[in-house]
Amino acid sequence: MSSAVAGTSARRVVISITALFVLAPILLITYQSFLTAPFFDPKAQLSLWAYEFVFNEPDFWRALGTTAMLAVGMTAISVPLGALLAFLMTRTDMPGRGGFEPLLLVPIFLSPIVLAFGYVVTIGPVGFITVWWKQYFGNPFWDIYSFTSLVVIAGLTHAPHVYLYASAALRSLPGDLEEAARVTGAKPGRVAMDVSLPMITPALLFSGVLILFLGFEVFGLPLILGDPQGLLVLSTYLYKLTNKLGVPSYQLMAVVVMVIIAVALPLVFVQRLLLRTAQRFIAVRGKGSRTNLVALRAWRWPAFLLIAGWFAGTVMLPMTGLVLRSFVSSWGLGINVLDVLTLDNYIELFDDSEVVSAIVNSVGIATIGGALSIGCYTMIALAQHRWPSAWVRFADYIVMLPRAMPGIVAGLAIFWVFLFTKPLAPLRTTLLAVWVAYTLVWLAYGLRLVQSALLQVAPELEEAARVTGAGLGRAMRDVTIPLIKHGMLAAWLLIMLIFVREYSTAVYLLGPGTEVIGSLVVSRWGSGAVDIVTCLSCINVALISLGLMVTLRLGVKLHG
Amino acid sequence: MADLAVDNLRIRLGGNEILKGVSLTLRRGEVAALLGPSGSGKTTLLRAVAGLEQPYTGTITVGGTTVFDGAAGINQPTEARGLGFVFQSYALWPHRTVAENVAYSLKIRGVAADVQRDTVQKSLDSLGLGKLGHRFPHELSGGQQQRVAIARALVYGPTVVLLDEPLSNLDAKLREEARAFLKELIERENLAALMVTHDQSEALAIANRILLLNGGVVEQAGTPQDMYNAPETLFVAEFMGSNNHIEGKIMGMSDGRASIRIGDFLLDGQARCAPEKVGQAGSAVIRLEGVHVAEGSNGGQNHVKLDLVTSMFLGHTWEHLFRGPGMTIRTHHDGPLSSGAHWLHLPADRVWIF
Ligand SMILES: Nc1ncnc2c1ncn2[C@@H]1O[C@H](COP(=O)(O)OP(=O)(O)O)[C@@H](O)[C@H]1O
Ligand SMILES: [Mg+2]
Repeated sequence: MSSAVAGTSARRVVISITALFVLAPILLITYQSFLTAPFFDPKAQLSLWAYEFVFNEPDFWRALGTTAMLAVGMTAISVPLGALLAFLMTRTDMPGRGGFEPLLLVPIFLSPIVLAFGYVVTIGPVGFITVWWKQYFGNPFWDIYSFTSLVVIAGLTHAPHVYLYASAALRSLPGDLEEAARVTGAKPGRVAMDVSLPMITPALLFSGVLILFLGFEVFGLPLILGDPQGLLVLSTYLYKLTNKLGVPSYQLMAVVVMVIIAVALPLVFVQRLLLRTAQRFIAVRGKGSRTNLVALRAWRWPAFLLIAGWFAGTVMLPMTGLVLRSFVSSWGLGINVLDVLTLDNYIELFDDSEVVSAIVNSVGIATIGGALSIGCYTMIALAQHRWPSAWVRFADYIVMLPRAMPGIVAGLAIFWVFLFTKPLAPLRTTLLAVWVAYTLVWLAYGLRLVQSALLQVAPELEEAARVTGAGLGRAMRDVTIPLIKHGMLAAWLLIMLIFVREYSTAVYLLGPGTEVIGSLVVSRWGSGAVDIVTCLSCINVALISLGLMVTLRLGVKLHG
Repeated sequence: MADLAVDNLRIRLGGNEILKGVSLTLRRGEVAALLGPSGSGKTTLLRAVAGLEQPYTGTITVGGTTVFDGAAGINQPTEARGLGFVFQSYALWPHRTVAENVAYSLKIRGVAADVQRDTVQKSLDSLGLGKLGHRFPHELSGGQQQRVAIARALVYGPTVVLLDEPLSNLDAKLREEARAFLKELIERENLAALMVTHDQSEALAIANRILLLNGGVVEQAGTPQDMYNAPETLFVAEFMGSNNHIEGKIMGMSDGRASIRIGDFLLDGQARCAPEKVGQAGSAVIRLEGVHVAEGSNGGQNHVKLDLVTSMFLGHTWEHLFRGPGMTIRTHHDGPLSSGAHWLHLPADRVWIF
């Protein structure tokens, strides 16, 4: 009995630590929201004052309203666009499908803030395209800093999320359903509308809620594109609130965080519910026989141009602009690009010790930190593995909670936890705090990657080790872990990409020793250092591209 | 003393009671077959003995040690029970070679590397796998994989082995060879083997004792001869062998004999039902080989004249299908029969009336 108990208590310890790790920041935020001053202030008292203050702020309501409109607006663009991309890619004879396949998911791995910089330097008021346009056509018809631009850019860049789920659903559709419709006389367009679309409704519904949820979380795009016009969403409102009253107004920030969590949490659970339905739908259908592709005929090239245009607008345009801007010394009306080309920006970059350590830290936190995070996620997944117990159901809910905390919120919460817990205080200014925040924010995602690898392990393989005499821990070490090694490697690569991309989580933790590329560009953009920001962004994109190439090269699927 | 004893074991899974009080004992040199229809709880019982499922009451004793006792709160973990287990899927570890698969249990027990190597080689040799030690499981045929699974289960010398449908993944020809091989191995190694199967002919061939499981209880246990020749319930009678089933009305019962009426045919047989059933609907069961074609007969006790409907050539014999009012009878016979009606004899000592 002893070894079974030992195994069980190890599981309990892991789950308890996870719960502590997740709940401590949330409880601290909740506590802080009911105080009249920051928690470290001896004069702080329990009260509803902060709630009253925030709820009487017109700016808060405006930010909430803007957030809702942004979320709905971008959903309205992403879902139809993503579904169309998925249909064209999986179901038609559109030319160039094979080449687009890996490219379509790229925007998911690009940092939104980097994309936003890219848009600013190309189609912003003095962007390359804008300047060029002015020379030939006069004033441009667009305004990058308008709400409409924000919605359109957010919608275009989030379409791959929809594509991901819609294409998976379409691939699992048995082709004979569509062929049956063709036989009865329906044209391809009709088939898509009458058969394919209704069959993937659960997947679309899920991705709709996902985009809505991501819309509530966006930070980078509105920070860069909304700020000049004073356009605030909840996350940027929170960011601006830091010094509302002249002193750190933690209590007000805590209230805003509570509002964000209160909106996000139900969306997280709705997603969970919808995902189950969508997966059941897919599972029941099973793998369909390979079908004849829908012939687009005259529409082949227009369809190709649509996808190429989308990719050009969402990835190529901002990235090209960004790279170009990083190689020019200055830019404005009447300047010839060839006259101002230079490497100085990059050379100067490496004189800036903060920038250098940001790059080193980013790489370190992605590789070593990412490996450690996967180690933690694996421990949690193994603690839950094949253990029918109330503890596991509890852990299932616990790990969902951080999803309701956007990066900026989680970063703030971890910052507070390190400030609040005296023994941890010295670690606040180290990379460890950043790593903890990253690990927390991506807990649900990373755990799912490991869990899906564990699902592939047949239970008898582990049981066979048990009956031949191995204890629980030994069986996991000798059988389970070797069998999920490839899954763990894939998870590590994906987490690495995501940690390099991450920008909002480390914003509040930024300080000497804790700078990473993401948080540094946010702060440098605030001080107007465009040269450094574009160079750093390019380095960020280069690192991600490198990671993506390795990942694809190793045959890892970009979606867990 | 029994090497394996299970007493009154009860298990609930997903809210359903799967085993409802199962008991059995097993000694060295014995093969007990756990027989039953799919879903009757055979695998569950085997897994419970190995500690892979958690009963809520009952006791399990292995080699005199109580490994599970619901009332006393004893529950030894799987790895401490010292059993051999052969999984239905074989469950060979794909990331280890054949030799590493087999050696694993020795490695865990801290056996010296050279002793490990010798023991594994001896075990592989005895199973005809001598040269395959360096291969990976996916490089083996189904029959070889099965032998590796057996080697892995036996290499550390457990007295009790549990086998979950070990032959079901082999094709029909190979299965008969493996059956004989397995029986010989168990007798040679003097093991106590509990083997799950859903195939009654396999159970009859390999087992010293059969436990027929039905809906989570042991419907009947006994030697293969008992189970085949003296079924106590309709379920057992129908599960073993190939049968004719005739519905009728039970007319009378005395001295262990009963008679049943089908239309105006009165059939005598051995009573297997309670006296209260007289006057009520009942069933008669007779094995295919119990029915004789009574050529040249013109009636008599338990003789009935039925029309030949169709005939099938089975190789070593013929199977004929007869039909008459209220009954369909199949029987084996040495040769073909002319079409038309034939007299059939259903001897009273081969007929069971339930
Ligand atoms: N983990 C489980 N949860 C719920 N029911 C189960 C579980 N495992 C098996 N069962 C049920 O228990 C019954 C017996 O299963 P099993 O022992 O595998 O049958 P057999 O091996 O005789 O075919 C089946 O009805 C099966 O559906
Ligand atoms: Mg079974």
